[in-house]
Amino acid sequence: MTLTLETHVDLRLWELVGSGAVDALRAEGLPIPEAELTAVEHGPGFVACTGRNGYLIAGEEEWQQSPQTPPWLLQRSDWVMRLSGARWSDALTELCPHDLGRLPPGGWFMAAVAGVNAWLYRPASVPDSLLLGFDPSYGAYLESMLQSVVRDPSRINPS
Amino acid sequence: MPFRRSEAGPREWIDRHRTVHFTFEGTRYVAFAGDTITSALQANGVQLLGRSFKYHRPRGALSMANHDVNALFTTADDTNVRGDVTPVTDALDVRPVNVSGSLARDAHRHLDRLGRFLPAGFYYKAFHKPRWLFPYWERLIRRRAGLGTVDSAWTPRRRPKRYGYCDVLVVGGGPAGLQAALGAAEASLDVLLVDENPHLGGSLDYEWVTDPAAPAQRDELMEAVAASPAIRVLTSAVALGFYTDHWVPVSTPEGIIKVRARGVVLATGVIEQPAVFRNNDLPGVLMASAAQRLLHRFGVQACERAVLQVNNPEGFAAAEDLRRGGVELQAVVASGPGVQKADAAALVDAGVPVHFGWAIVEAHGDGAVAAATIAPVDAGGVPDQTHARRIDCDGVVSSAGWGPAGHLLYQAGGRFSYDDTLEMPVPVAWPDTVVPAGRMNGVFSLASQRDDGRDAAGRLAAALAGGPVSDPMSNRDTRAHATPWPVVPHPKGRDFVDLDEDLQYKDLIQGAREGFDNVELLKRFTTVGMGPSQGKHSNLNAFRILARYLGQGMDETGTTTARPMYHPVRLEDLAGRRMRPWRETPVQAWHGEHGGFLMESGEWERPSFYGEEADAQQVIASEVTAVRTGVGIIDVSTLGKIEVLGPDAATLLDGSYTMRQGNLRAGLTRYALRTDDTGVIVDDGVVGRLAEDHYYLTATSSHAEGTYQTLTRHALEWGLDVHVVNRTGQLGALNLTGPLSRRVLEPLVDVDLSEAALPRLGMTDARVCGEWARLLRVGFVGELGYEIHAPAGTMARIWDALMDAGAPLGIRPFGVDTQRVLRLEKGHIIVGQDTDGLTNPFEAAMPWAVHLKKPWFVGRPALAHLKGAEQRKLVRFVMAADSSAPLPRESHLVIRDGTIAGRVTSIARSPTLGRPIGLAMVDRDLAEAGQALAIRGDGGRMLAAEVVTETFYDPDGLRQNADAPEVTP
Repeated sequence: MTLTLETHVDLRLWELVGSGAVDALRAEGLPIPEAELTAVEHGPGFVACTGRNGYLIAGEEEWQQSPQTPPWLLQRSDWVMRLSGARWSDALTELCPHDLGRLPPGGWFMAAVAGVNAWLYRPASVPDSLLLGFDPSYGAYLESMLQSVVRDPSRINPS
Repeated sequence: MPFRRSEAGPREWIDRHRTVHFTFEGTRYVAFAGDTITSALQANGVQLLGRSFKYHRPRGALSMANHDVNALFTTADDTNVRGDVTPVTDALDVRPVNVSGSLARDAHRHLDRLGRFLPAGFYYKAFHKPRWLFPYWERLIRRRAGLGTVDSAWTPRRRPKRYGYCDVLVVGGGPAGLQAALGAAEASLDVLLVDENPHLGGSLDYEWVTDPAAPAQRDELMEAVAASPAIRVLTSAVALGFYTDHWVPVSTPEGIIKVRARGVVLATGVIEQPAVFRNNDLPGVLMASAAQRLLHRFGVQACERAVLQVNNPEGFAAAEDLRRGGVELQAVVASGPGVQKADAAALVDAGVPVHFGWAIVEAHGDGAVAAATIAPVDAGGVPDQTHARRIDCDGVVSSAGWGPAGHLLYQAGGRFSYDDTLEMPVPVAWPDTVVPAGRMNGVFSLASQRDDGRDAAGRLAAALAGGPVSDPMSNRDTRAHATPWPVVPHPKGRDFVDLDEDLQYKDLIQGAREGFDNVELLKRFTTVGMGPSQGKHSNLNAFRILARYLGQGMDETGTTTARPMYHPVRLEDLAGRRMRPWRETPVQAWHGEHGGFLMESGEWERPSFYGEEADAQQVIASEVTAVRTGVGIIDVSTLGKIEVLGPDAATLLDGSYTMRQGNLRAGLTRYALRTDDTGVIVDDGVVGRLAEDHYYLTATSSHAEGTYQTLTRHALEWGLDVHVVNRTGQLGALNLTGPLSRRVLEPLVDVDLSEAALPRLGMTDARVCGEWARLLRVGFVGELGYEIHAPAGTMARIWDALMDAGAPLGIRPFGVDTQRVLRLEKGHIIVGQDTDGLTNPFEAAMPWAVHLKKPWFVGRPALAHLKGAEQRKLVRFVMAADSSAPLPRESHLVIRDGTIAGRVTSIARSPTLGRPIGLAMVDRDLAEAGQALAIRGDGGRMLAAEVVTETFYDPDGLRQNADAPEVTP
């Protein structure tokens, strides 16, 4: 299967922080990750636990920002891409120092990709793909870097 | 003369069915696919391959293993190509380096006769007097020195680097490495096996080819490795060095792989060392392993009639190899502890003259070997010239001994010690997870090498499993494989120790005699080991020479440091793919489409102004005027934007900033200054409060990330219940400013913009164009202004809506350079421009920003001490309105009585005030109103300025009243 890059994945992202965050997730019927730096699939997206009382929600929901009381819900504008193909982890060896081949289906991870901080999610339902999200101001740069890797015909890996 | 054998050998690397045509010095030659440049030339009878660095002596093949650079070439698009290991390709045009004219008629070959005037260190002795002449010599030497010519117009062919991972990295694909890889795979470990040659096998494919037991073992190992799914193989792959935590970059033809392993087996083998005698550098003099590589890999016989020097069992085996291959062995001389007469039995039986206790004293020939002189040597290696014999030959082959290829083990923290039995350094200590194996470990027989590889893999597997690691088995040989003294110095010299640097025995003795009698000093004075082969064929003999001169042992003499890279690496490969992150604001495209003159600002590109570069001054002036009299809009999305949320939000900010933030009322902002522990200004911005436990702050573009990291660190270190969320890239921001700004904005928002509802320094969330946004009333440029922060996805629409709404009122976009002038007119500082690495708030004329009544904040102890003690101060100054002279520039000096009394930090012609204005950091006693300043501008011209204390523009802040008649809709 060839490697493909979808450069704009339409997901709404929200950051939920503060005491009561778990209760807020529960109240909305959202899944709750078991531990920090893990995620649970949710529709086309996921709910990830980013730290103590901190969650990243990716999906199709639209909420109103409520920044006045905890937990605080902050709108995110992450640029999200999807890399698909059985050898997606090989391609990322050119851009990321971590052995992403070890990221299990359903795994969520934060790492630098081409020098830019990103979150990475490998959906359990589509294990031959990887969602990547990052600061939108780096979007054009990362798109060009990922495209150059995906389109590089000479890309060879040690396997 | 060398020649290609018509009969194919069993382990050849060449494909005799595919021919390749190439040219060398304009002559066309034929080779086979798989030939290297050196083997192809040798096959065609070309012995003369290069000229040496200093004396331009003729040189030929020596190691055939990239352990020397006698065969260094240039091609149409590359230089310093290593002929021993570079494949020859169709239509390749090869020329020698370091030659003026042709190899045979090199114009500089006569330098050899001037050798006595060019000893080691001659640069320091021959040319430093008279001093006035040195520049001439320097130019001459620089033109002559160096190898190869760089084409500055070359096109780099970047090969992307990538990461690689494995449990066990095995470096070296010879018998020990192959066995170690299999052992690790059997322990259920993921193995990456790398070898610098294009084929696995190592010594199996040149040293062991004719051994009766070897072929079957080779086939067994190769088949097992190929069949193992746990072993990945990379050939033509050089492990360049060993870095922290088993990080090993491996250079491949496709680029560098940065391998991270959990454990490493180093089966890197040994490097044959040359014998040192007069004219040991003539073409036709080569090492035994080189002759075997030529024969078995490329089917090339190095010569027709050979004299061999043998100091170990490998040498006798090589002699037998050559004899069976058709070389007439004119004589074999053998001496040293590595020689046992039983090893010579086959040669003796074949009628080859074998002289035990003899050595080669001299090689003879004009441009190539034509004869060799041999003589008996005593226990100290001194020849008995009275019994010397001259023997005609066209090849001199030596097998004097080995040095370990232990560079990576050194770098991994391993230690070596000289083994007096083996007569070579061997590893004596190494980390549990970086394990030596094979000949590098002093293990020589084929069976023992496999045992050693097996043992290494087993111990490594135990270490990786966290279990106890057994002591290593001793597979080392118990006899010498070298002579401790492979040196026969000649009174007439030309007995080379380092062929890269044209270093003779006497050069090293002279260096030691002059006091450079430590390995590190000797290296740097004589340059031994500093040539392109990095001491591979020279260091061990150099250490032997120094040890004997000092009368001490090898361990006491020591070694120099083996540093990466093991072989040179192309800069293209080190550079890899260009990764230079850049950032774009949500309105980036608009700037380019509307004439924004972009300038680099860190990772961003921001518009300096909107217009042609040639018109910069006029455009900036008109943008300033537009903001002052109408309305302007600037993209400030690069600003740091940070939410601080939680019960301890106020505590965090009170501790991190100099001004109190805990008493800030919700709905308001306050200027925020941050210093370090020494009281030096680090950054500034604005802190706003939305609720008891919710703050929102800005930071400068260049310190956005630093501020976020500092606040996060403080929150952790101080154990605070707070969330710090970096929204710098998540939100865009723009500043709409000017007397007409409220009129433009009001129809687009759902909040009251009156002074009472949203006062100066106020902050509120609102809906702009129906989208959530945050409004801040900030006054950086000194006009009524609204900073609008909104999600990146909606910012462009808001910008467009404001441009549309402002069009009837003449809205102008303005850029960073315009903003600099506007803020200067208001007397506002820019951190990093008007402050430097030592400026504290008192020097910056901002004592009001330091709330020492706060019990504690970062920098408070220092600032309490510094208050009132400043020796310099930031002042405002003006210059004559009618001055048409070029203005001073930032960093031009303030001069008083011929000495430096300060410097300009900001300066501009103010369109609003009609005169030049600026800021300067000056000596304290110059900081009084009315004080005259003398500024030294371009060309030393002195320009007059005057200190003023009142801010240049709107000192009372009347322009920022949202209810002023001219601004109210």
